[in-house]
Amino acid sequence: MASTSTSPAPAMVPPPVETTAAVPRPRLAGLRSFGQAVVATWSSRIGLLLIVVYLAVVVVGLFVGGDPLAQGDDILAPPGAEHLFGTDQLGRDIFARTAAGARLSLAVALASVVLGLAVAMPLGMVAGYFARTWIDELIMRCLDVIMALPLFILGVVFLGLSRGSGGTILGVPTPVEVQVVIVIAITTLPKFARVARAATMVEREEDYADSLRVIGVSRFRIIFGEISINVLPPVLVQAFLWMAVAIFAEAALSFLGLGVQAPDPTLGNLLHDARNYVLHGAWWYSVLPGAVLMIVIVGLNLVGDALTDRLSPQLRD
Amino acid sequence: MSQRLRVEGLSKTFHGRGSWRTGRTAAVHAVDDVSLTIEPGQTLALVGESGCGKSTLVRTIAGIYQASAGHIFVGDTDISQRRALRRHRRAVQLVPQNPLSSLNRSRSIRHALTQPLRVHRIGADTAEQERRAATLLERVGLSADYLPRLPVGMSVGELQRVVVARALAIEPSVLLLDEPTSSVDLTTKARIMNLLLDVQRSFDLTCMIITHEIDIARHLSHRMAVMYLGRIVEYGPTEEVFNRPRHPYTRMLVASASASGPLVNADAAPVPVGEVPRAASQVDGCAFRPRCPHTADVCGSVPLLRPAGTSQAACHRLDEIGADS
Repeated sequence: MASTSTSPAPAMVPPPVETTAAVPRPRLAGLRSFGQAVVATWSSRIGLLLIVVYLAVVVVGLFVGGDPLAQGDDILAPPGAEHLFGTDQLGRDIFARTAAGARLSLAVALASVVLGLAVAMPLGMVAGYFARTWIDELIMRCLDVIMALPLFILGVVFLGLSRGSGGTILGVPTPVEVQVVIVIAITTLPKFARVARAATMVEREEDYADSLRVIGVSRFRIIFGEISINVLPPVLVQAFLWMAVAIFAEAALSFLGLGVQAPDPTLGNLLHDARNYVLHGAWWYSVLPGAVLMIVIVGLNLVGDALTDRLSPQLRD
Repeated sequence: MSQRLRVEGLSKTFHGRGSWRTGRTAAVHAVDDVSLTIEPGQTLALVGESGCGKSTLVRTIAGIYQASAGHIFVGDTDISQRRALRRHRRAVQLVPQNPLSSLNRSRSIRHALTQPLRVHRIGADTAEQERRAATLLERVGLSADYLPRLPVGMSVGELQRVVVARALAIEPSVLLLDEPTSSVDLTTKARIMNLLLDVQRSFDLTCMIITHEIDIARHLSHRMAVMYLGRIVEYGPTEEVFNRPRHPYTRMLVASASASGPLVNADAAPVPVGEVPRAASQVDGCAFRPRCPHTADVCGSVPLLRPAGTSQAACHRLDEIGADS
């Protein structure tokens, strides 16, 4: 530049740089540290064990559970060698029904969380990128409206309306399982979008968001191709915690008779049916499916807490 | 091909961070009516205290902020308008202050360097783009082994080179550098300065460099602009500004810079008068008045840049306070 005439001519090849060890960092290092967090403490190990037990019930039930709808002569039989969890008032095997219900509950919860993520994450990231502009306000105020609606009010109205129109949503025939998925997914939207928005606002402050604009990268690609990678971990942890909420919500809707209808079993309508027989001494009818429900919710929460701690170590204790 | 960078009456005003519902709070004139020209292949150093609007000025020129008023010309093309085309805007590239923050921590160096090529469709296919990325890395003194690495674990000096390489990837004619040496140690600083000199010459770039360090400005630049609270208060050939500072503020800067060298007793350094005012609190008239030892009645109006020797200074009392102190 200016004073080069007086200084010695700079080498055309720049001098070697101080090198840091040239070991390529594994791409999955971030995921691995989440894995380590899960096995690091006793509470999360127990949580992991509980989740495994629940999955075992689901998987074992698939192979040895038998037909959850098959009725037998053994009515309200206590747990024993023939019927692991006993039988219900129609002689159906409660283990088979619990396993089938656990499977359906898991599928509904997973589907609703995935659907919620798919809708909420783009919304939250766009709101976060354009934070404090009218775009942000529009998105977040719409989500506030959803947040103001309790799950069960929404469930009653939504599921009631679709039932009134013969099981259709906007004229499209929809299985009740899908309707439950939609209701639960809607209630997850505000939470997921808020987490995505907050994480995006943090990323927006980094220089790379602006640097990429200067290079000519479109805002769309910056949000969905660059920022999204860094927003994903907190959002996924949140989604994990909401799996427990979703399983519980599905059970609660079914318990109230709004969800999956008899004779198909879910953990919720098993407990609903069991209500009438508790006083007849059939404790196994409500306690065993209830225990399976409790196991998975406690397990998901314990592991989810460990993941949250890993995400924000400063919030520990 | 380097091109002339010409900035005309550029202003950038920020409105308070109140939301659009609650109404706007006081405006901050971060950059106020700045005009300057950098001849092709030359370097302008922009100096001034923290918060005086240097970064805002280069970020506006780079297109991160939309200018509130004024024009930015690269060659004969006005790139300041909202409609300016991407292929014109790309002529100006920015090397931000913090190299780690300006790279996506989850993306490899390969991604960072090939992305500009993909966006502007440079290079026939992925393989060619990778070859170009490797060449760029070697050009800034890093080996192609860095391509698969993530920014985490690399030193600031290495990251700075990657950022420079990324800016060069789309063959700009103007390179803006925001304190390229602020976060590195002395040896790395020297290497980066050599790299910049080399890169500017071989890529034929017009450069604008922000720096806090007067000696770096002196070493790298042809002309120098001194900024104070959003305005340019002195503007001229580097040696002239450095040896014969006209504006009282420039004198203060030069005095404190030459006194803070490692060989000088730090206690003997003249302490700059007064505090750095906040940009939000607008001073009527000359912005430097609250700190100026030469204040008079005329200072109640805003001084404009006027010729003083071979440079220009924005002070009403240039003649009274003499050319040299």
